[in-house]
Amino acid sequence: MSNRRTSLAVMLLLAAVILAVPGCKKHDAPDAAASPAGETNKIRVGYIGLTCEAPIFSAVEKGFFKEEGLDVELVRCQWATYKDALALGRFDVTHHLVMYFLKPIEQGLDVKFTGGIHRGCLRVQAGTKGDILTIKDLKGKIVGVPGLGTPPFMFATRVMAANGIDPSRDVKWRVYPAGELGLAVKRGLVDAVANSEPVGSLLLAEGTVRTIADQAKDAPYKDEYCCAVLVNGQFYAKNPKATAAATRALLKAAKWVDTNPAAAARLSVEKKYIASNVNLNAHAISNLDYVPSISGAEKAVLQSAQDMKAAGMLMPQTDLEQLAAKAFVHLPGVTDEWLKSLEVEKLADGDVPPGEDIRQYAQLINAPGAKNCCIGRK
Amino acid sequence: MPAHGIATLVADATQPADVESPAAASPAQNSQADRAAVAAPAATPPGKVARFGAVAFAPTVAAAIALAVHRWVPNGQKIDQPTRLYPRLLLILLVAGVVVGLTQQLWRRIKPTPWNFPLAFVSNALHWCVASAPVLAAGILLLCAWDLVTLKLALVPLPYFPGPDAVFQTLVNDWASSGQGQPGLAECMTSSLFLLLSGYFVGSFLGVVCGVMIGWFPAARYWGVPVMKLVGPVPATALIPMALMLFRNPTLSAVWLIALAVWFPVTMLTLSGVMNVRASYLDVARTLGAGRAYLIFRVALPAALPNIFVGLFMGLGSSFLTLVVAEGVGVQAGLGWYIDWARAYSDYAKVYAALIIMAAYFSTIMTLLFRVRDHVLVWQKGVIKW
Repeated sequence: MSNRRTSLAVMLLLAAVILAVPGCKKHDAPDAAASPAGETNKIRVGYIGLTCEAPIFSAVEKGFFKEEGLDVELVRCQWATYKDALALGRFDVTHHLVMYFLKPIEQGLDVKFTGGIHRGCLRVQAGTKGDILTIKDLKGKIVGVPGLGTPPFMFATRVMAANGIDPSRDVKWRVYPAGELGLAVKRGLVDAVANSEPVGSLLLAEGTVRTIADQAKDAPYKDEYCCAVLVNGQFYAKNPKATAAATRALLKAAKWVDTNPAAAARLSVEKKYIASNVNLNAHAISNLDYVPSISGAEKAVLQSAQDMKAAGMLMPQTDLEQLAAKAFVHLPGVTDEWLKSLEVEKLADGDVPPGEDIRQYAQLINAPGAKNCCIGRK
Repeated sequence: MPAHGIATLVADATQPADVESPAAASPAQNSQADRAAVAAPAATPPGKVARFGAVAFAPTVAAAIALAVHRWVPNGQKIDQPTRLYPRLLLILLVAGVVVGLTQQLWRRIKPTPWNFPLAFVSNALHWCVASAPVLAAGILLLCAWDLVTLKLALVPLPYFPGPDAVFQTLVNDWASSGQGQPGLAECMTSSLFLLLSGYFVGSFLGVVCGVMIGWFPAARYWGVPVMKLVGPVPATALIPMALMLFRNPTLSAVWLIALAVWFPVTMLTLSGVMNVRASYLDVARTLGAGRAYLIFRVALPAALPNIFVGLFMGLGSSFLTLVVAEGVGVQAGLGWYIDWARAYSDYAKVYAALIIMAAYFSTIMTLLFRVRDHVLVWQKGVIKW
């Protein structure tokens, strides 16, 4: 009797432990017994449900994965556990922010970059009530961020270091949840904020802030890839061909999104990948710069690593070349030449009509059901 | 005179259902004594010289095993720097274990007085070490197992599971500054302790006050209970905007969030304690001429105390849970703030270092709270299972 009770307790405990492991909604268990010699053609692609993940949705819906001979399965995840879900093999491939993953890779997180998807969505913005007009004016001020170690914080740190401000001494950092950064500016709790889309556009449209550094517009950051294809290191080691095929599918999808932003926006919303409305989504997508590149992504990895080391984010003993080599892999058949030769269809109603105002965009964002792009709540 | 009479009356009559008769209590005491004898050969009556026991050397043996494992098993995880702190710590434990083991008969429990305080402290601490030798040894072996599973055999992946050396190293490296010009663990510790204690005291004081009001006055219950039901289950993250609007000072916002998390369980249990006071106590008190203040403060509140302490324990748990959220509203240092940052960098050695400190805090505060309860509810001794 007590034996049975003990074993029941042990089983419950085990179940609790298993449930506590950061999990995602998985539709299908991975085929663990897949033969080690032959490569799998099954691939699990992670997503959170963000605007900028349009290439993932397009690649599935337009059949780019199928063209590459892959059997794709989408795995929906949460922000808080996204990094760990990829590294621990809850899914195999996705695309995400380069800076967000670099420090964890230095720490030993087993993931690889394989190609760049799009550029720029981070900003540093100062309150309109204050007298901060450039980055240099930030000296001695208080800067709000969604978290130390988040990409907006990293971006702000890099920009400051490049402008002769010591980010560890000359400014004070304050952490607020991404959604409450605007409130912190309005209440005068901080003088400036570092944030990402769509919070940045929203605050701009409200007239709360002015942008003093923009990853999408300011050199040298405007040429830097903020999002790149990421693959689980073990999956890559076992299935280099499948990894290359998945990367090709995602890069092709990025090009397709660049050509047909409105169509991509429609598809993401109508197939219920993201909770948003079509117009809002189309504007958000057209604000991002979807120009897939291999060399660009590789450069972005090294550039970010250099700046992060200069800002004291990476360890002083870390060898940057080695880190970049560990973090980025070149795959067979995935080259800039191939990307150049790649042609995608152009749909008649695929583009966004020009000349729409950012205030309209902000109104759309304020509409109920809107979902953040890029960094939300950490 | 009536004051004293009623207090004893309450004490006598507040016997819960699980009362043990003196006869039933004595075997329990015996078994406790047995247990003490098994666990600790040195647990002899004061004054008598303890028998020299080999068990006292268990930590030494454990430290030697751990050190051997650390020295000779090859590393499975790749690390940048050679380990320094962990082997040194083991060596210190080993030597200390030998010294304490050889001198075990010297250390006895001494009642501390102002005159012998340092000596009594050392003697009591070492007496405890000798008496708890098996537990200490198990702890050291646990460290060894941690070292084996992570650094040595790499059964669990980096960066999630760094070895003990990495964590201890972090505790030392980040003590003064945690990098990028940010405050170190020392400042995080004091800052978090201040937040926790002030939030906890404010929350539990308000909780007891609200609980008594709602429990005693029907009008307060009529208006108060719906408010409690509304506010109680709101998660702290959802209250952040309100915290920012209410207070300009980030520390005050954080204190408010923690106080709210503590307030709810304390109020709930205080009010149930006050509402469940036996009508007979109140009747007796009234018959003896007690006024309302007397009924509340001398009858209802003491009778509700066991319940209130349950609420205080629950509140302590939720205050620790809320700490991480509360430190995301613009504070400049703190253990939760530090963990959040380390997690963004996947620097799990830092996460564990902070968790160790939090665990130490939690168990210390918990122990203190138990002491306070034992002191305040001393009349329960012998009444319920102690």
